[in-house]
Amino acid sequence: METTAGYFDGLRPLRRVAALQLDAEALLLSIDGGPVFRWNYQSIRYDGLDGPRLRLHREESGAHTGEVLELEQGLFADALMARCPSLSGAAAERRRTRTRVLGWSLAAIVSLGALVFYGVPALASRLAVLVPWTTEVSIGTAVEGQILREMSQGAPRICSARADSPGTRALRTMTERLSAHANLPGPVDVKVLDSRVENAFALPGGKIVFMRALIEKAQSPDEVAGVLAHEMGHVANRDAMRGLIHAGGVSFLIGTLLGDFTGAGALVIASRFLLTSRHSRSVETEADLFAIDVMAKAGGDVRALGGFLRRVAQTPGERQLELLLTHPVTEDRVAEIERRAVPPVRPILSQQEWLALRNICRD
Amino acid sequence: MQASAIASVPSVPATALETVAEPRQGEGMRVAASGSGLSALVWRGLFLTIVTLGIYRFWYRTDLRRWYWRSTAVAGDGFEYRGTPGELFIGFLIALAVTLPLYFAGALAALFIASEATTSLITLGGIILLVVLAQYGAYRARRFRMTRTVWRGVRLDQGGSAWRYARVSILWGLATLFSLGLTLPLFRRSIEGMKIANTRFGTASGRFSVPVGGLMLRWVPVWLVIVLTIIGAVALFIAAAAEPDGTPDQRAAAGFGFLLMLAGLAISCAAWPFYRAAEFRLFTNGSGLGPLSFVSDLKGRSLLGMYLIFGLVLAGLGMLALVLAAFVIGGFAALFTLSDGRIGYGMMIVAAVCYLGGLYLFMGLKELLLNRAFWRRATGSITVFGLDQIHDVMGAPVDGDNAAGEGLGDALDFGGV
Repeated sequence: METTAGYFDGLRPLRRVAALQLDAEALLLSIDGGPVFRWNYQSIRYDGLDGPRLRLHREESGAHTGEVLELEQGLFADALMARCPSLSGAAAERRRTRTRVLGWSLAAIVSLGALVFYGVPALASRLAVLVPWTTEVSIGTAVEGQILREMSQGAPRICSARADSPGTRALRTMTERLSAHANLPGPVDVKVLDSRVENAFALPGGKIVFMRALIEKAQSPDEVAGVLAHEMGHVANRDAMRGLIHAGGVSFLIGTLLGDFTGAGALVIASRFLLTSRHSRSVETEADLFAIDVMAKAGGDVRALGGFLRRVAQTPGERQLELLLTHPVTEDRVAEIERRAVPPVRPILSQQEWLALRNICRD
Repeated sequence: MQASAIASVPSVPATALETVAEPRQGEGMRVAASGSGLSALVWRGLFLTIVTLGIYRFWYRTDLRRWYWRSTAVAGDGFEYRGTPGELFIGFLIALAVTLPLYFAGALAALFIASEATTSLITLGGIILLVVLAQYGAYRARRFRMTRTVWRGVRLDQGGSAWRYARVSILWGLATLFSLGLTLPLFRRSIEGMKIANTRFGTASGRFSVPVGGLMLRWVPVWLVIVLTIIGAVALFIAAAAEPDGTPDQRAAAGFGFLLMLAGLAISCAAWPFYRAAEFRLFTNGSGLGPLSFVSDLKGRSLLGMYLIFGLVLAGLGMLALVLAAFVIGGFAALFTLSDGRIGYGMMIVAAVCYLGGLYLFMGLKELLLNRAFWRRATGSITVFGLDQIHDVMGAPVDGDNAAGEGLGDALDFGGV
């Protein structure tokens, strides 16, 4: 069997003609009618591409010689392929490698998923309680500025900034009365932000922020106190720190481990969203139980929190969505609060203090 | 109408501007840029890339390159890409080792340093560091591709210093920023020049000499239209903000101004491909490689057609997606929202699938309608001269294995080539 093929010696970029013949152990080449060379079948390598031409290379003691043979597909090429063990296996080997890559990638994704959904939350709960309170406070201070700016258009206005205003004093009275029964890891720092959003949240280090609209929505001081006690529950359970470690761990795992693949950013956001709504239920219930306990010990009206939550949830409009996303209100939650309620002893604030607190942003 | 107005912009005879630096000897050979089977490769490779959250991309990218290299031929001999997916993967790991500590340090600094000024200073420093690394990576990535490119059994190579490249490109980038884009051609000329002049084919070295005058003559009209449009839009916005309800005359003037801005925007968009084509011709005609010299006859309208097709296809698909979304979400919303109004898991999954599907379509169409189209038009526009002189060229051993792959260029994939 004979044919001709293109030959490049790897030294000069010139196409030469090789006359090819198949021998028992080797491919015989004669370049431009010159003397015959032997390419052992074992030494022939193939670039694995199925184009109109086969591109063959030769290896000598593990290294590429630089020679290239370009052969048209056809009977001769098939016969040559059949004789070279490394050629006939090349395509199959390539497929096997890719199957392995795919299989193990999927396996890695499954274990990554398990880590993200179960491992990181578990780790976050264990780690959060180990973070010293002073560290948590300095993290909270760093985060607070950013979050307050994000929450308000323009410079954030803190209504409770003046320590001697009546509203701030009323807020302090309420905070002190609840704190006395709360067994917190450290003192809490409660602020009121001038905002039309009806929400309240706790940041790391005992920083609790009330939005002005939530206070205005309340009909009694005990409703505000119920929410404050609930946020104190988050502080006591180190939920903000836990959330921070959790979110950081997840974005670190997904974002950087997988490189800057275009989809990774959105996947991080989506998975974080899924995770928060998934874990928030039990976290919120824990904080409710804490609030019920503190309100009962402080002699306040436990039921106020349940009624307030239900009322906020039923308000139509977009602004309540924010609260619902971070604090899902379910009938179970409200029912649990009502079941455990004990009769109130005395209101959390006097009528006068309550008025001052409601008007805290108008001072 | 717009197109004809644009076509008259480069009305100076092309030959007057793009004089060939050296006399062409002998017969020229046109580069062949055509092949079949890319679509199947792209749709399959992208699917696997998305399913594996990106891990498969090293294999996909290698397949793409093998296809493009094989389908590009000079004088009947196709190029050969000898890089392997494993090399790209190792490069990615190296980049990870370099950038992970940086990301981690940045995150820690943001958390523990309470001072906002310090935090933003650290953020700024981090961004600068990443931009420098990205430029460094882009140059190294090209070196990687060159050392794995073979034509007629002889390897290409790229010398030069990647740090110098990073320094020059950042200085020119800043100059372009501060000159509001006026020096863009000089920026591009300088970085393209570094790449081409440092390219080697065996013992043959690259050279690059492109006259500044011709380049700026092409750019300044386009730049003026863009800058005037932006200035006009800002002025219009300020005037409208200052006087929300003006007299009928004022409103008519504003309306006319608005139309003028739209026209300016359309002209800017249509003029860009014409500039790109002229730039490509100038860069190609000014490049050489040992005995080889090149001439391109790329047409601006050919690139304009490419962008138009891509834009129309995207717009059509976007419209279709909106109609589908309206039907699907309208019909099934009840299934996916919970009784208390919250968004359920079902909706999240549908949204994720839609997002990934859209990403898949976009990336595939971009490869086929932009990247392949540009390769066909631009690479196929080149004629190579001096092929009868290349027997003097010797294959040279490539120094250094450069296993770093395209690591940094891959992990910091912005502004890469």
